[in-house]
Amino acid sequence: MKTSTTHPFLLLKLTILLCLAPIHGSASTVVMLDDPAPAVVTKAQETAARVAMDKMQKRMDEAWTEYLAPLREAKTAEERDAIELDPEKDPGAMFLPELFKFSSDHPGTTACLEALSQLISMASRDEKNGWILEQVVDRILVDYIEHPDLKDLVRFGHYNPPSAQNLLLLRAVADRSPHRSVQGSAFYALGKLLGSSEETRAEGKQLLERVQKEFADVPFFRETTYGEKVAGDLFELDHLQVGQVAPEIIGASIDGNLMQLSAFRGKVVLIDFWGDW
Amino acid sequence: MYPHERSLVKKHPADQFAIVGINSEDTIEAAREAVEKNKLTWKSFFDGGGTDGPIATRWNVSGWPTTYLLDEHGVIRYKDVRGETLDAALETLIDQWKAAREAEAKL
Repeated sequence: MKTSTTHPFLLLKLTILLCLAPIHGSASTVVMLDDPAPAVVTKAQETAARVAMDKMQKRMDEAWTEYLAPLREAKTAEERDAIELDPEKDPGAMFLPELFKFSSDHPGTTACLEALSQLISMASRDEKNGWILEQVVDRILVDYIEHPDLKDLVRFGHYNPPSAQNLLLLRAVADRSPHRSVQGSAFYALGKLLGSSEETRAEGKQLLERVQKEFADVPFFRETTYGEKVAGDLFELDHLQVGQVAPEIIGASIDGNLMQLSAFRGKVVLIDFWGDW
Repeated sequence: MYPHERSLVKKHPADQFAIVGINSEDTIEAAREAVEKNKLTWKSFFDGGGTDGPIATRWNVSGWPTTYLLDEHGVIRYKDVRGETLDAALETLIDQWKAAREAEAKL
């Protein structure tokens, strides 16, 4: 008997496949995020990566020295202000492809983490490099989420722009690092980033208050702890925002007289924290 | 920054605009030298020596220069604006200052 209908068994199989497809799809996504497979690294690979990184770092340092030479050689502040460096020759942009390739060639090594750390700030400077930033963040979360050196990477995370990728990275590290000191650094950088724009200021403040409560003893940089650091940041959020009356300053002037900021009321005032170095 | 600041002080009359510096030089001697060398005509607080002085600490300053632009009521209106952005911001506040004086004159 000839039949034109699909074989019932095949139909059943198709139905099952179709039903499973979306479930299977989302399941594999979850697996990728929650159960990453970090790169396994041998000692030889670690050494090779270190040697290559040191060589590249040396070339980068030399390029920076050369790039900034005109600024160093300027004799007066006027000369320095007049210098315009060519952004095309900026080592921060020039070395980006090479560093990115290095990070792909040496996954999981400590040297690669250093490269990824530099890539974050380089790729954050130009929106057209968003796709690089995305891959860099992915790689950090898969290969290095438990790495204690992640602290060096997130510690100054608030100096990068509050892009979706940077926020994602800091949130993930704050939630998932097993090291309290790394977590504290991530919470702090995240709080600073969110605190810097008006729409997210309230959340930023909450995070900084959490740092004050839970991570005050964690070292920030040199002698400073997060407890000391965050006190200033909370004061800034509460009293140094656009629209608030500037706090009073009373003290001695350079020429030895007592002066106070509020005596300048009635004029437009430019406050300039400066140093001639 | 200094040439730009000097030009602003030159451009805007002293009853409308002033620069108030907070200096973080290590010593008062170095601060005095810096004032002379850069021909600064405006006044600066001396923050006790170094970048962790009481004023910079309270104002949570971590980079130099850091600037705040205040209106005539002492309200912070702009933070860390430089170059042409600073010129435009200052122009806005000076216009408001002038408008306020005109409004007072009509009373």
